[in-house]
Amino acid sequence: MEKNIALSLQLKQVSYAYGGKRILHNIDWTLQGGEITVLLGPNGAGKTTLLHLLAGMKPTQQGSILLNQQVVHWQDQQYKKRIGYMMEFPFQYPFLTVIEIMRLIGQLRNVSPDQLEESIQYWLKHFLLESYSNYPIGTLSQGTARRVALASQLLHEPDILLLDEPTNGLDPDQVMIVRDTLQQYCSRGALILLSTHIIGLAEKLSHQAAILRNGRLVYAGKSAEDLESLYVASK
Amino acid sequence: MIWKKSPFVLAIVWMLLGQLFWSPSYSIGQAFLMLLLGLSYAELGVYCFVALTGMARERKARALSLALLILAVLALDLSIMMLPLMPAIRGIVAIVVATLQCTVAFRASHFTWPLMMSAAPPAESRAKQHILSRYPLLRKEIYFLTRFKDMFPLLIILCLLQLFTYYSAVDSPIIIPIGAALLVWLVSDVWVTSSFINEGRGLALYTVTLDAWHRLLRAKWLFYGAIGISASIVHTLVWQSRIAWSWTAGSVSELCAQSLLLTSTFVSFSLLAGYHFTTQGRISLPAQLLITLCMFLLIYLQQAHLVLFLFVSTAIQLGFYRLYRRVPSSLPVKFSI
Repeated sequence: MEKNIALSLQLKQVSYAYGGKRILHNIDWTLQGGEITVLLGPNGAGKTTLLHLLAGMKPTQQGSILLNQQVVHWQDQQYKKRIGYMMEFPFQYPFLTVIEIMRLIGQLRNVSPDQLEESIQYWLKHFLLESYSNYPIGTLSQGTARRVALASQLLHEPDILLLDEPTNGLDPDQVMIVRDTLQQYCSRGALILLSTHIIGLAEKLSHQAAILRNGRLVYAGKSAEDLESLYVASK
Repeated sequence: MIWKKSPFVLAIVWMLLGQLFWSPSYSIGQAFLMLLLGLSYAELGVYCFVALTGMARERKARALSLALLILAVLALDLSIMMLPLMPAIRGIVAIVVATLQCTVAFRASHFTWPLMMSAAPPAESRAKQHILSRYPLLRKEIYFLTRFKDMFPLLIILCLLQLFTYYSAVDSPIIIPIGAALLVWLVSDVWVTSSFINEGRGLALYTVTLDAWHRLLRAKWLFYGAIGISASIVHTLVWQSRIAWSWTAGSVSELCAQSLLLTSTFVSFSLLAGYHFTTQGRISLPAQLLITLCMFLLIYLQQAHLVLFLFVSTAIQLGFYRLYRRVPSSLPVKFSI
């Protein structure tokens, strides 16, 4: 991946509602390449919906999303090719093995066969998954399956990485691996946005932080060492 | 696991062969003897297969001679079944050969069991050897295809259809193309229509880009299309040969063209119907009945009004193209992320 500090992703007056209920209210927010941004907020605050909109899984109902000042349509294929999105509950066929699911996702992302095999081996090694590579996904622990899901989203080297609760179900060693990976990946110029409930992780990892409450962005700015007080104060 | 399934697969192949080659003049007793012959061969075959796999792994020269020997035994069994022998002689020879096969299989089991146990590897290395590992899209479709709940009714109906054709093809040759069309219908109705439902939440994987969506639909269309066309052509060729059909290049190409037209129409229709009902959450019983009714109508049109069938087929293919060219904007809640 090219180093891409100039990358910027902007939300302008973005709103979204399910049925009659408003989930997001006029979100104005800018994210920069080469930075890790952490999205905090209680359950039901609208974090996942916001990530869906950014990943192009849903159209915005009001407002727009801009990539490098250009408005992007939610089905813009060029935009989607630049995105890696790990869902909160990533789907993986339980009967496919780790290496097969990674191949499948790499093939769907149009990674060339040689590059795909090289990339799979690299990320398997990186996430300490080599010994599991031929195990069916259904036989893995939640943490291991989650690492597979994250590794799969890195195969096409996206420059925008969206992660919904990436450390759920991981043990402390695995959390450290994920943390180091994200810091390393970010240093190559990627824009990383992750939602989490773990404030300790957010403090250690992020350059920027945002707090979402009841669909409103109540804080967006530099990440602080005392994010917890900021989070409590935002109530 | 191939070790567990192979005797049954061999037995089914044997029964199908028997169904094709046994003439109605066989008595029940003779048919039973032939079945015994087949089952003992299946037993012998599976142990030889295990030994062969082990030998091939160790690159032993004896592997080739063992493979040739097992083929020679198969040839012997087939000759006993097909040669115009007196019933008594056929029976005696079949009993002798079946007994020999059982004895050899029993002796062979002593040698091959340790090999079989060592060849039953832990989960991880077994998967490593999976030949389709490099083609996960295909592997996934084959997994859906071979699930017991779909496979079992399909095999039962398939056997019934073949049995019906066996008794009626000579008197009414029209049964053969209708049987071929019914086969394509079975493949489409049992597998293709439910293929979107089978994906479940996995469907979301393919909506990330247009390329991914194209790959999914192409893989499904080509895979089920190949199965439908093969089933249709093999069925027609085998049964036409049985009623002394004279083969010409023209007739074979016509058969291929007809199978291609019929299967492509059915597969496109089934994928469209499957997708349509998937977006509603599930395929209900009335919807399933409606799909089946439409498919019967298609078979009727293909047999009776080819021109009209061509029009309908074109409309269906255009509908499928519309589904193919855009990533769907909405998926049902249970299949979305």
